[in-house]
Amino acid sequence: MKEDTGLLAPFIPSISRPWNKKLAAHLLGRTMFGAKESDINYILTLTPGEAVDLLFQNYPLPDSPGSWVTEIPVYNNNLNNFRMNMLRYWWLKVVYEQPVSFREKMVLFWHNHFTSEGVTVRIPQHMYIQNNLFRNNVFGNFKNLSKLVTKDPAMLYYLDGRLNTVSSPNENYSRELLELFTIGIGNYTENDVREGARALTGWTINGLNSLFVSSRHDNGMKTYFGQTGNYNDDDVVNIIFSQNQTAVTFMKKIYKNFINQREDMSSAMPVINELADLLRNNNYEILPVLKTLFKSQLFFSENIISSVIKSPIDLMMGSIRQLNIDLDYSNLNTHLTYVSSQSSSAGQFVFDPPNVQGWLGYRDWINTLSLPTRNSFCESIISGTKKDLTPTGFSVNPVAYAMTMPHPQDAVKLVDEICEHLIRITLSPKQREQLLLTLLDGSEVYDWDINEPEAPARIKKFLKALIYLAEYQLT
Amino acid sequence: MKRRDFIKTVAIGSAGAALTFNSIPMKALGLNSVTSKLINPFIDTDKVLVIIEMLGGNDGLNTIIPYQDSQYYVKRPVIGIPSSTVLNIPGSTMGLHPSLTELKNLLIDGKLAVVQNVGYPNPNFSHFRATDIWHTASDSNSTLTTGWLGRYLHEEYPNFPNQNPPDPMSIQIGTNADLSLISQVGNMALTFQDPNQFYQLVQGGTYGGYERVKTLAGDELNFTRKVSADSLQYATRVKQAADNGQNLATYPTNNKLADQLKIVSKLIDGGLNTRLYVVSMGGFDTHSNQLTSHQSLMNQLNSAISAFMQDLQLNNINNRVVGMTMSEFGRRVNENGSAGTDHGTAAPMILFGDLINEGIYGNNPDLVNLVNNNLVHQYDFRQIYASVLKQLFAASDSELLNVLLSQFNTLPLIIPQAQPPQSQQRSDFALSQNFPNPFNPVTRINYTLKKSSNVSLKVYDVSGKIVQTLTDSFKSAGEYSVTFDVSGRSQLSSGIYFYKLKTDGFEDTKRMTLIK
Repeated sequence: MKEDTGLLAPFIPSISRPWNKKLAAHLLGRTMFGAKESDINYILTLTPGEAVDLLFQNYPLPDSPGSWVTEIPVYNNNLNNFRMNMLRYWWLKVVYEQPVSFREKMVLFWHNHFTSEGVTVRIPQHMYIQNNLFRNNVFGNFKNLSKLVTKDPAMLYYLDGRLNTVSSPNENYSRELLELFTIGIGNYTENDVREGARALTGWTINGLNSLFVSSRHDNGMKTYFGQTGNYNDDDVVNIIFSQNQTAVTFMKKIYKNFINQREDMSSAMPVINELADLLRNNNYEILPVLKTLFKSQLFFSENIISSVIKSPIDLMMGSIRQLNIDLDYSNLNTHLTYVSSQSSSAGQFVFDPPNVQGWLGYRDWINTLSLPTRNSFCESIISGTKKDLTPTGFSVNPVAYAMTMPHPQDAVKLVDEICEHLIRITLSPKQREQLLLTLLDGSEVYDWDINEPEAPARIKKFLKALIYLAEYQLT
Repeated sequence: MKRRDFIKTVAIGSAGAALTFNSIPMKALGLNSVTSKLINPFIDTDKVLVIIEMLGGNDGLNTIIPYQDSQYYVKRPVIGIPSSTVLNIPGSTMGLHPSLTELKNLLIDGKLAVVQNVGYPNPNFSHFRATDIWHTASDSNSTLTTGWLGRYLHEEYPNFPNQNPPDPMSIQIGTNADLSLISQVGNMALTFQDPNQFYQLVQGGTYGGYERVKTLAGDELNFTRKVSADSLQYATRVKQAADNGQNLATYPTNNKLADQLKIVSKLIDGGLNTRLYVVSMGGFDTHSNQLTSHQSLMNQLNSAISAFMQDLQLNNINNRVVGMTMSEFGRRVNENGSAGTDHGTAAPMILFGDLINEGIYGNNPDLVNLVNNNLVHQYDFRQIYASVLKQLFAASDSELLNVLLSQFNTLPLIIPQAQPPQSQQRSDFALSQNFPNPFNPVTRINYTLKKSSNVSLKVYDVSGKIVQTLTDSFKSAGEYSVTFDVSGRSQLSSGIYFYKLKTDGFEDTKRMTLIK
């Protein structure tokens, strides 16, 4: 029997560890794009368990980005590039408008798990269909989703499944299915790759949909993970999911994404194994597993708070959302073009992961180029001016934002409250003093008045100093 | 930087037998005399290595093409490059992809080398794992978290990160540093796409006054703050260099590799003391319809390298820079049914620059004796790494061991530059250049002894293996002439060979070229 770590037991607030703003912001920061002050206040009226349940609640699917999503694909590069961008802005808008829900962050997780690059797939309709496949199965069954992705048109295009036929097998998808999507490298043989490719033959694309053409399928016997039979694509997935390691590899990825990512994961393996057992016992339904994880003592433990480096989308869309910035809907695509290009400069261009492995995340997000890019974006949505001195067209309303805090008229409390909202690490007295002096801008603390004409500029200066803190890069 | 004293006087005699490494005669590398640079690793360098990464697994067989091997067309009926269009290489039965016109000129001008069949035992077919293996220089079955360039820079800059060198240790043009540039102490690379934009970006302030955070977040904070400080320091320095430097050649447009090399050349010219640059181009994962896409890639590679080399020449920095291509694997010998190729194993590496010992190293790919339709490697990629570090940067054997973790035989790919002091020239014997040279199948080698001595005269191939012992006996003073005859030795391929004369207390080596 394996030792129970106890870490997955539900977190019960106590006097020493109360259910407070910090923990509520931690929960929303990990599961959403930015934690709005109003959302934090709302979930504090619930228990932690109820708050987690709320994050997993269904809500209506977004409207499509346009009637073109059902048009038969055409190979018109200009048109397709245009629509691919429309799709990108559409998703950012869905993110911008998200209610208290984990859904969109998990859609991004799936996009980064079952990767496809728009630049290779080229047909925006297919990328849209794939994105909705993730949304429709967002908290569904991992095994089932693996079957669906195997015949997803964008994936059939991206990893050459459409070219994989009995007469000329193509191993591309077969390999990545094992290496990156399910069981993980080191747990299969090169022979499994080759035989799996044979079993996966037959699928092609017809317009918007995938199509199985039996004459293209290899009807011979295949030996896969030591078993022999006339296997097809569903059999391949079934066999992969009959291996114990598949759940372990997947839960390790979940752990890295939502709990903490360290170079040495060995100390986390006991709890990852527990999660993997849970996943297998639930027949690969992920909802109960994720709920257990997000409700757990592990998730709310002090040691993991603020230990995740935000992805560019998380940082940028999150900043817009938590600073209560109103995007101008008559110019929405212009605004989102800016977000998308800045996020791309910082290493994350949605619908176009760098390769089939997806974004590595963690410290890969931060380097001598991406960090200044991230800072410069956040600065620009505070100042309203980009690095090239052109206007962003949208920016924080500093006074309105400050007014959402409990004590906007008390400079010391305002600094603490905004820090508590935007950062989960308690700043040192020296850091808070510097921030306070920035806010006061030479005036005395008892002179602070949010209604003064200088207040907006002072709050902006303070916010700018705050987003430049290393602490702001973390969630 | 670990600045080392240059030891000017090295007594030749005392070096004696130690003047060989990996059985390659030391002199072979200098082509004239023993170089103090190689004897003495404790020397600063102005040399620069530029690594061009071809991401996705370049199809080596359609880059350096065995067009005289009928098996090539048997296994690649659709995507085989027609022999009529292949660019022939004088003295070789390999040819170049039709788009590589300028690379052919570089080869003829003595500025380009191709090492064939580079790989490693138990090849991995995953892009990511294979890339990691190349980046970390690990064995196939072991996982390392640091890269070979990172470990090398750690040897050179042991005080980093406690003390930053004034200039970036290495630069990767792009958005992310490769694993190759990660060392025991972290990321050793500065990453940016454009020097001026980068400088603009880092303007903006932050405060100190923080205290240690004891949870996991503390590590991420330290990491982020260090990156922030580094970007501030180096962006200024890089901008200075970019402002000082100039591009004198015309670079092709719509060519991402050219864009990157253009920046590299400008920064070198502008005086940046950075010894490693990494640039990259993607798109090599040609599983389907590869003829057009691969041709476009070859075109870009060709025109980018050509412009870069011209620029180096016009700026008079051509004697400082060596370029090297790498790719995580070659591709399957047999084409697949989609007019493409699946992941493969060994492939050629291309090195270029004025310091290169030109030629085609290694045997032609053996298209018959395959393992699962894949080529068997002849050279380990770490041999190339070792050669470059040793010959270009004069890395010592102990450094190489720390960087590459075991010993690898080198190939004489790069001509070392430091010239020996004149006083070290000896005159009590003479070894003449063979004649004819190049030759096939017979050439003559003359030597003179001013006093009697034990004499050995041996011929080596580029890997340091003895091809033939021509003389090994006691000889009295006088003039001697021996012939080297390769007729009937079909296994000897075209290329460079070395002959080494060894007498009591001295030795000399010269190079000769066999063209079949």
